[in-house]
Amino acid sequence: MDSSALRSKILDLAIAAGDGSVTADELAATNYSLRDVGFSSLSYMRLIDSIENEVGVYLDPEAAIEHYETIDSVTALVLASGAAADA
Amino acid sequence: MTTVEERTITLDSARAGTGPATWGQRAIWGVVTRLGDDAPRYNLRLDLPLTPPRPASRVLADLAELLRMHDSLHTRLLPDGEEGLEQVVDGAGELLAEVRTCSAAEAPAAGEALMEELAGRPFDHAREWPFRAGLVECGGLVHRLVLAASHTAMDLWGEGRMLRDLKLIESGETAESLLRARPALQPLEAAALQASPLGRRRDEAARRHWCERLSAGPRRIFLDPAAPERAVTDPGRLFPNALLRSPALAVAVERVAADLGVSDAAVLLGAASHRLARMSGSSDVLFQVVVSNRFQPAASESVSTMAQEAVFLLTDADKDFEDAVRRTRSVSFSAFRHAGYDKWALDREVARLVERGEAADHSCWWNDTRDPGIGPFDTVERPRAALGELIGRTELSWPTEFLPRANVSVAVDVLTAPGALELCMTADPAVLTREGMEHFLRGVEELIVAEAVTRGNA
Repeated sequence: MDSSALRSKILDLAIAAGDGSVTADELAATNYSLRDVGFSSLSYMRLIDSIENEVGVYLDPEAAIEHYETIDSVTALVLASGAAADA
Repeated sequence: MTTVEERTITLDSARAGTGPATWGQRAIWGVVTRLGDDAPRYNLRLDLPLTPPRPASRVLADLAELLRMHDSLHTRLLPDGEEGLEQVVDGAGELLAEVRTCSAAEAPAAGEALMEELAGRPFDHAREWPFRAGLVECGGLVHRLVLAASHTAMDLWGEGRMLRDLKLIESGETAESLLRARPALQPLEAAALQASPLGRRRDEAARRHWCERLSAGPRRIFLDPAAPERAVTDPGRLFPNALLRSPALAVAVERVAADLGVSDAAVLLGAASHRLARMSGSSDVLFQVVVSNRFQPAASESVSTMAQEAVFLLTDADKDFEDAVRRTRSVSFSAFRHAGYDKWALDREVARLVERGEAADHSCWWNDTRDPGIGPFDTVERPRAALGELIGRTELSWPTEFLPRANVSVAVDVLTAPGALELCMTADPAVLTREGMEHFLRGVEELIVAEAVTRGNA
């Protein structure tokens, strides 16, 4: 999976993890900031869970909070934590 | 005058199957089996007024539909060798409903008595379903529906989902339509996930996390216990229970959480950790935190027992409140992520650590029982008074005393009440006096309220 496809996958997982509370448009409007759309702790737990289930990468929940602030920082964390990117 | 009879709830063509028990079922089955005749204290019990009253045939049909919807209600648990426990989901069978007939005026007392009768007997998990029902009938209609369940069938979260589903079924929904709209994880499916390579990895990671934190945590939290001799000389000492009901806390915790960009749960646990560290003399604190383990939507819909304990270790908790709260967020993420495991295997590992004197004090408990979908101001208007005035409306009461609890020095539950948050604390008098308990509870409240006032003025 290239990094762009990975980012797209994580965006989908984040929207699903929001369980109806977050839309793609809202995320786009906040420059894909999870914090600014009010992503809840429960949603973060779901996202970390989904990334392990579907991308196969275990994220450290104690990683610095900055890593979990945006779709791009989460993508970077997934790549750094073990997901192979083609590009 | 109350008369007694039985009626039958018939289940047929329901899902059936056999498989290993889930981690949750194993954990609770282990506890209630050890308790023997004392096991009923873990039974869940409900006495529900039906408004308007309904014909018994409808109530029994609704219960059959509820059974069809949730496998845990018609599941038996059978030991399988030394280490195994098997769940058997019966696709057909009968459940006898106890019926009491009396006058409408007698119904509340009859309902309460029937509830205690149904929930007061241990369940034989190998032979019977972990669910009992009773009806209080007056003038040919059911006025009260009484339910009792073994904790192996559901935790408190599951009980809430079961009640919601029963109401939806009463309003005309079917098990099939409800499960189509909101799939609910069934225990056989959960067990299959837990037995998969991913599940086994998670179990191992969770137990490793537990043991690492337990090895790293403080050997003693209360460095100056209130009456340590009582732990030896007074084994029957009762544990007081205090309840702080605070409208101010309900308002303040939201404000602090929003300002710090963390959940209100992190603010409360961070404040409790800070307060405990300051009071106990141990800069590092460790709580066993009860976790619902219902992060995924299908798990959140499940009527089953999934809650387990996570280990939460916060170092330097006494230093700075804001720092404690911010770190609570990430430390609790990690704790929650490692709250699903084979409890029997973990217990053996913990026992080895304890035996070698390498385990931290893990006698402090935290249970945030709140349903994220239910807030204190859902049904009550948000107060307009300033926090300084609201804090004057806090009530502290001492509802009960409990029999001694093993490995409990303090246990705190967080609950939602209309217009308030409640902190409910039970403590070992050998560790903490009643004054100490009040000092802790008011200290947590004052800490969060003062922080909210400061932030409101900033």
